[in-house]
Amino acid sequence: MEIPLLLTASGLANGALYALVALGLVLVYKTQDVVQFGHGEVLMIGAFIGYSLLNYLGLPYPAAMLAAVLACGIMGFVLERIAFRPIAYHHHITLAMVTVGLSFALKGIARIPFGADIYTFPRLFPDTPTIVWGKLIVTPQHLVTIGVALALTIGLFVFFRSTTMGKQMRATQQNLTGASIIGINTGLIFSGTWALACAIGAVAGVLAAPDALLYPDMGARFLLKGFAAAVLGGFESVPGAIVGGLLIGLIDNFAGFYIDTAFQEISAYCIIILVLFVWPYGLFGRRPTHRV
Amino acid sequence: MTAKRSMKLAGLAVAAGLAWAGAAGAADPGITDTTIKLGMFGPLTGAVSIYGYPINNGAIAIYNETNAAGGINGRKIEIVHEDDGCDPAKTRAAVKKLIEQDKVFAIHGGSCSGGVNAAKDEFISGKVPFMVMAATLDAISDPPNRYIFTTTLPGSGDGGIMLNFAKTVPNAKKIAIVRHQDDWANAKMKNISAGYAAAGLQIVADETLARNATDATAQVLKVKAGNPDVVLFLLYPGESAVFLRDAEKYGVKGPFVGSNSVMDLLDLRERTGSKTSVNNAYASAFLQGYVGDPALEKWTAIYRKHFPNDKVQSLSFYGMSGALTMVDAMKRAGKDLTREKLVDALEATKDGEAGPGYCKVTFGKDVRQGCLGGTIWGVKGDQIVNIGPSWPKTN
Amino acid sequence: MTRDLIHRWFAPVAIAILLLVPLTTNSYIQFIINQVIVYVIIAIGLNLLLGYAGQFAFAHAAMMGIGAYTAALLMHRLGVTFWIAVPAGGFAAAAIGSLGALPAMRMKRVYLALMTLAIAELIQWVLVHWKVVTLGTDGVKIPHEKFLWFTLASDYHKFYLILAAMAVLYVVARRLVESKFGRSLVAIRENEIVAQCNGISIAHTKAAVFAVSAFYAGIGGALFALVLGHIVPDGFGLFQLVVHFSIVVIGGLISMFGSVIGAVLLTTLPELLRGVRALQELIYGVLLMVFIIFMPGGIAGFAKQRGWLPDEILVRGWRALQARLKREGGS
Repeated sequence: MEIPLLLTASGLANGALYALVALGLVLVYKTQDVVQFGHGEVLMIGAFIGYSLLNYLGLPYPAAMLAAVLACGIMGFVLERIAFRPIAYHHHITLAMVTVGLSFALKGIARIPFGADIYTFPRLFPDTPTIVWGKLIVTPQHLVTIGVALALTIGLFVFFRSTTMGKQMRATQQNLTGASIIGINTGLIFSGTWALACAIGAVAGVLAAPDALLYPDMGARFLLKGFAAAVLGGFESVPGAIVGGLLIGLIDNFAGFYIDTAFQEISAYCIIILVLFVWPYGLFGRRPTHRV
Repeated sequence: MTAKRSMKLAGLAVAAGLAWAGAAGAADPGITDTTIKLGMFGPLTGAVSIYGYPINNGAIAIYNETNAAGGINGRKIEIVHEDDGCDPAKTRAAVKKLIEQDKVFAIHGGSCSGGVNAAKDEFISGKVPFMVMAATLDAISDPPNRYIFTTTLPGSGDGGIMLNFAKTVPNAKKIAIVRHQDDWANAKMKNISAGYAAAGLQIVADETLARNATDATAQVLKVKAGNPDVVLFLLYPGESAVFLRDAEKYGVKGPFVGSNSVMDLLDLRERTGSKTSVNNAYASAFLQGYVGDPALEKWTAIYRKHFPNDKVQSLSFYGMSGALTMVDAMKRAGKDLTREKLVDALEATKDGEAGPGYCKVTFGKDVRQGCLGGTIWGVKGDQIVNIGPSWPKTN
Repeated sequence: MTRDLIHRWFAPVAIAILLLVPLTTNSYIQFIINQVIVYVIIAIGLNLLLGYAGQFAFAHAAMMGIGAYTAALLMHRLGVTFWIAVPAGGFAAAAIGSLGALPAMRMKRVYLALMTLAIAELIQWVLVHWKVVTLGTDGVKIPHEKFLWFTLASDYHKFYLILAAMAVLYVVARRLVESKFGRSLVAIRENEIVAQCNGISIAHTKAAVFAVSAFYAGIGGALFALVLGHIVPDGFGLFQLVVHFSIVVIGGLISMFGSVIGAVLLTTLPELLRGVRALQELIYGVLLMVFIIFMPGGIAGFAKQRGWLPDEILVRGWRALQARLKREGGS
């Protein structure tokens, strides 16, 4: 039992990160039909902002992380307004290519001050040793990751159910024209969704960075895992993204151990292919109705 | 129509010009009475620029130092620096640009094996002397070619040093390997795959860790299940940190033997976030000392002098042996410098200065790998120490 | 009047200039030009799929890889001549690419994108790990084959070969999009159900366009292997795909001119940006964003709007027809 237990524990911690990445992707896709290829870089920028505030301004850890998340939220808000709103009704490939450009640009920006090294991101509890409960071994960082992801998920659930902004976001996702007819400021919803998605990305970034190390290209791998998680969850479902993320984390570990570690490199792709062949709309997706 | 005719005329004029230039240019390109133009290339953009700059800057520091000391037989070295992005197509373009457009005399460059291997033909067909900067693929310099030299320990050599060390670990029978699947790690695997059986070892786990992996739980648990006596890891520094961190977490004891990529063992320790993670870790290296070692003081000072804002790391020394060898050969080739004379002078190099390299540089007829030395390093307290080629007897 | 003259003389003058190019270049510039032509072929193929048919598929770089590896391995391992190896690369890619139509039958576009992306990455993984056949990360070297006076060692000789291939493939593609097939593609892109109601077989048309597009990528890949002389699996990954997409989107979707303009611009741009190393990535990214935000229809679309480029209508002989109507109407 020891090995499955260990694989599960670290798989869930990694999966929680993938779930957060997938959440950001899903929110943007649902609202604006944009596949966000720059989302990995949002995560990286968030981590670098947190690192800079911590190291150069000497802010206390929680404050630095919160400020980084906030900063990324603002970045998302502004980006949507200047880069995506003007072409919102163009071909989805055109929109996707803008996010590809964004990915290059963000990496380019990060590389100017931080391109020469791999940075070590401090942990929240640097001196707490690995926790051993019987056969279970967990690092404090993993517990933090799972805890924050859980809290964030609950928070989002409440946000979408109970706040006006959250309800308006859902309405816009379901029917854009309808939403604007009943007087929802869809422009604000667009920007707000981007802000939310980027903020969640930054949370993933500062949680991942202590384990992943910090460098301008750290986002690519998370983006990929996030895509796989989003596909597994149907790409349009918030609970789907979370379950998908956790599953990807677990599958990676179990496939690595019981099949072959070389398989880990492509397990995410194999999952995408398998899932789409069996359930073409993901685990949580709905079959779309055709309108003529 | 007139446009067409004038186009044709322009083409003819250019062709005539080219023919004239070919007839007039008896001397080799890139040489004037006061300068020698050297080409250099490496990954200067994108993710891999993290390796490109420190390696190439080490070589540039040596060339600058040579110029400061009066140059080569009255000529100053001019460097044309190109980016190869670690991509074969871009590397080939960079090399063609250096040879055809910038008309350099010789080239010193290349830290990415795949790219250098793809561009290899250019040096051979252009008869341009080429010194490899830090690419480790054996196929670049083996089989030997007249124009291609390297003073970097080939990957197979690095793997050989790791294997030789592993087999002297007391009672070593079972080894585990954790590695990337790329040209860099595959080059090192060559001698390990070929030699482990003869060394009386058995591989109990051969695991892959993806580039940019952030978790090595599955790899570590599989290594642990094999209960190895020695663990070899062929990983880049970041992934090495991830692996050693998780190995400590799940209680794998080692010893761990890494490649030259993790010679900065204290750096590695910092990245794992644990003070004890490298206590039983070793690294093979082709340098004479670690960063901050008194043995490298001279070379560190030269690097700092020319690149005061750079962090000195072991990569900073990789390009120096090649630069020193080039400078030495160009001096010996005499005032009347040609490409062929440089190649002859390089070929005649015997026990040449390798600077920070752990060897004396020796080439010869059909010998193009000039530096085959290397040794193992470990950590004692807060100090990196030379262990020698085999497991220390006193341990 | 001048526009008519331009139309009449554009092709012959362009060809004449192109044929003379090697007289004026050194082998570095020739190498870049050769790459530009290869990318024109690849971009035409991608534009058929992405632009005309509107299929959001991500496997184009992998198809290029299949073409390159098929041709390179045939030449390197079996000593097959490039006259056979290059088309074989195209057909191998077409065979595998047409399978891409299977998921395209029933998937929404984002799933098709991710599915093909996954397949593409799997293909690259196989190129790395199936060492017995592909030689793994060591890569494959293209032998310097000679044919009469023609040798694969010379960038100048290769230029004429790929130029000829490009000319043929350009004309073929042009005919295709101006045929009933081209119009069916556009119909499918606009509305599959309406297309079906008009008697267009969705399955056949999609399978055909996936195959044709992959064929172009495969031929492009095989020629890319000849141009480069040595290929490794790394060259056909996500970055390559991003290059293809940038070419087609910046050049202009649903436009033959667009494919050419995009290929010329985006292949030479990184070379022109060589001087700005540290800023290269940033400039590239920002240019990509700015271009698309201000010219969402690509350069070709923008130029057509301004009247700098003629409209491209999907009916063969449309321009002649227009001219005749104008003459008759005027007289």
